[in-house]
Amino acid sequence: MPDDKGLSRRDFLKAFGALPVAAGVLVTSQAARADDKAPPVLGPGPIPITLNVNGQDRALHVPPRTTLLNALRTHLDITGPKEVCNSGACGACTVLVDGLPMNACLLLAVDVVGRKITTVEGLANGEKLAPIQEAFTTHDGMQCGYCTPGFLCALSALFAKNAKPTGDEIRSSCSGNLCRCAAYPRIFAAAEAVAAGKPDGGIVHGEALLALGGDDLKKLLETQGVPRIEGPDKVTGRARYSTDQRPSGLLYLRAITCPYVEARIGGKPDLAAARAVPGVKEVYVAEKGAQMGATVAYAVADDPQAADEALAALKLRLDPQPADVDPEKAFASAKDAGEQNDRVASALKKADAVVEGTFVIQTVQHCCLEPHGATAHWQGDRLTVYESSQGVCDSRDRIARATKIDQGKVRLVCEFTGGGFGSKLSMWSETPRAVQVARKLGAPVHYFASRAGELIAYGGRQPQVVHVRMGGRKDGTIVAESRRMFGHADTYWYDVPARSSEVVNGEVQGFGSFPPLRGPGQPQKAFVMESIVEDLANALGMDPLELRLKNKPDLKDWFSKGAEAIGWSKRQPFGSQKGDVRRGFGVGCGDFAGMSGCHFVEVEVDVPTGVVRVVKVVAVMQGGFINRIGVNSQVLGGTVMGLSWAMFEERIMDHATGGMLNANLDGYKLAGARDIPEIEVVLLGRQGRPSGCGEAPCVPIGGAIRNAIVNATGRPLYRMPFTPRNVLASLA
Amino acid sequence: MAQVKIHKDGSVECLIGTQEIGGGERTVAWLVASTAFGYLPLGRIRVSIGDSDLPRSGGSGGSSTTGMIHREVSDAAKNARVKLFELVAKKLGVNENDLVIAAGGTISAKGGKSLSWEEACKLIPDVLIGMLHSPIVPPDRWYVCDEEGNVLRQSGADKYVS
Repeated sequence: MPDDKGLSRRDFLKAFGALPVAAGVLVTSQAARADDKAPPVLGPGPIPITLNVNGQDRALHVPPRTTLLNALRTHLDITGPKEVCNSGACGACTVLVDGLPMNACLLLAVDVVGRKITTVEGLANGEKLAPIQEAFTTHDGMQCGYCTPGFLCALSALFAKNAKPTGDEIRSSCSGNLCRCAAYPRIFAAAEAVAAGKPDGGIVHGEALLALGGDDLKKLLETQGVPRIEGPDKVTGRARYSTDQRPSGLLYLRAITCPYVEARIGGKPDLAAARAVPGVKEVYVAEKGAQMGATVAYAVADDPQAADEALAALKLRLDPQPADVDPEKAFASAKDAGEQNDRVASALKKADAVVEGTFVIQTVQHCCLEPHGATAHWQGDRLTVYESSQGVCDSRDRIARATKIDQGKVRLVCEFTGGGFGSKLSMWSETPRAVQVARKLGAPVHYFASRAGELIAYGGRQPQVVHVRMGGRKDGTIVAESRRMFGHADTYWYDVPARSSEVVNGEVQGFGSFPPLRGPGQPQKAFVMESIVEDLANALGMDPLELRLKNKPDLKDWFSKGAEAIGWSKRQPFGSQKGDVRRGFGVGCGDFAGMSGCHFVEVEVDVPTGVVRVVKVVAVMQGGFINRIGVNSQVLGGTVMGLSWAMFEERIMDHATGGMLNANLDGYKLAGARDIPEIEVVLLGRQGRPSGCGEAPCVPIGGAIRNAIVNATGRPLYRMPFTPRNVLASLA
Repeated sequence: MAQVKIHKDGSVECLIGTQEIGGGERTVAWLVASTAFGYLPLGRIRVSIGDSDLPRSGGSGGSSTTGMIHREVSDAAKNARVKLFELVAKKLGVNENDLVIAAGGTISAKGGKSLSWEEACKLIPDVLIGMLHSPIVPPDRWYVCDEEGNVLRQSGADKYVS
């Protein structure tokens, strides 16, 4: 054991939990030798190292616990690799180490000394984009672009060893990368174009695009649209997000977010130890406790890892306080007085068929890859804030009000936002705190939520428990429905002549705040409505398309297009299949802000395991648009986000402690490259006057998938997400 | 609210305090500005967004951003175009109401007289600035134009600011 001034390399790695990674993935020959003989003592203070990044030797002076990601971003100002999960779950920090794709958040800088490190900034040859970069720009292989550097590095590694990968190999190579906007289909198309030796796919781009005007441009807009203008910035790492802005003298604030509905500080936090960490400027711990999503403690330091280390040194203990976090319990315990509306009760009584079910819809999160937060920079009495924002002018006004600064002295800059989905329309705690701490410490302060903080505090959508009874006539006409609901998933889309609903809102806590989430309210409503309508069709022995058309004849055009594209004629009647592996077809409809449409879905259900694979989706969407390439990406992204909510995502609350159990990207599952079905977009509507297109495509998909599963299994399914567990439960 | 500037060299600047959240908002501003000027080549347009010092625009919620950019940028562009038409009408000795802009940027009068985009922009003393003062204005109150936006007669020139 070395003296107390330092740690051996092995002890050091153990202390920081990085040993498996370092040992399993990257044992350098030097390090291996060092382990055999006397261990060299490194740190804990800064040591000189040289990293070869993008062909240049760069000298640094950093503590040995510095991750490669931190070394690149904080110390070398190479900000293409992004900090998103800090646990190797999302791939946003992927870089190439001697040509192999690696998560820079899991590597120590000292372990890659002597290796060739390539970041997204090093993929192009001068001004000439690498084929995969070019393909991303023309195929719109990105939306917000925050995950793009990681995807590009992963795919570059693939193409370096295999010039003509198959579609399967392409998906495998980026299966460790997550894209929340769900640009996946376009990412695959880009990579497939590279594999086919035609990276640009024949799409006008670059200088040729900039030179295009007049009739040629008019025609292009009417037919295929144009690639996004900022594509080249996003594929080269030149795009600077708010997290990437680095005014000189920057300090980093890192915080611990309370994961419990209510918690008290237990024991005595070791403030002295936290303050003793080199580089730490300030440490704060809440006096008594905190509520879910609030900041329990924070540390400010000249390096983000120093701030993290200070937080760890606090040895903070949180004691959760009792809380009720079970919406189903709340729903079940509320008194049901029976149907009070005589018209509804009588219509249901006279109906030829009545179906009912209690639908349970989980809480899902926004999970923007760029966390909420800001860098605040005071220059005299003027303030510049680099916030990750969905409204730069509104944010500026709010900051001015909150800090009582003249609006003219506040400037908000947000060149690119790394995902928002509704959660960055309002101001949260990070920005005002960054502003205050920056003023107090006299230095710019960078404060973005941790991944846990992001998942705990930015709640997503409210859980729903909805009991519905629906009655219909033999000819398929819906005559009545009756609802009791925890939440607000009321009737939707179809005209129901007699209906009633009762809202049962019990005391349930712990689902965070509910900022609007993409298509707020609609996906839940559509899921319940399309499901119960499907069940009615099944009870009446009708084709579900026919029943829908009976109640809404104007769906005819969409249905004929969608049915043909999905192959509806292959659909077997409800519950008629017997084998272990069954095919199902389903439909769902919905709208939001001017755009409306339907999804047709084909699934494969493995009955013994409950595993559902979505095979194909057809999205028929109607609305005006400016740029066909852009709206196509929105329809794909919305469809996949809706699929991800329906199939995988769930905020899991511990009923015993009132804490969120899966506030990380290992436990909170987002759809990844392996989960993306073939998606065909049928876009109806013309170029010119735009209707909103970002939200409608995430509305119908949940019901459509559910109905396809039900078609295959012959058993109703009431619980989201459609995980093996919930699907198996529906078969029991 | 957006500001659209036409420069003497024929280039166009578009400034709007909106934000790029991944939906291609910059690109929309670029295309709307281009369309207003006869599908002006995209390389001659510069777009600035993502900064609260730019003309005020709204937050990106409710699938509204593309529509908002479309309305605000085309309003501002049409306003700048009115000013350009005034210069062209004077030069050609025609009524500005009779001017149309075709794909390619040529501005022509009913009688056949015309100026190319470059020739027209050379008439600009320094820069022409188009901007609507109020962010939400019924379009018919301010200007009259056909479906294609080719003919523009705005009804309250004094209400525009530059």
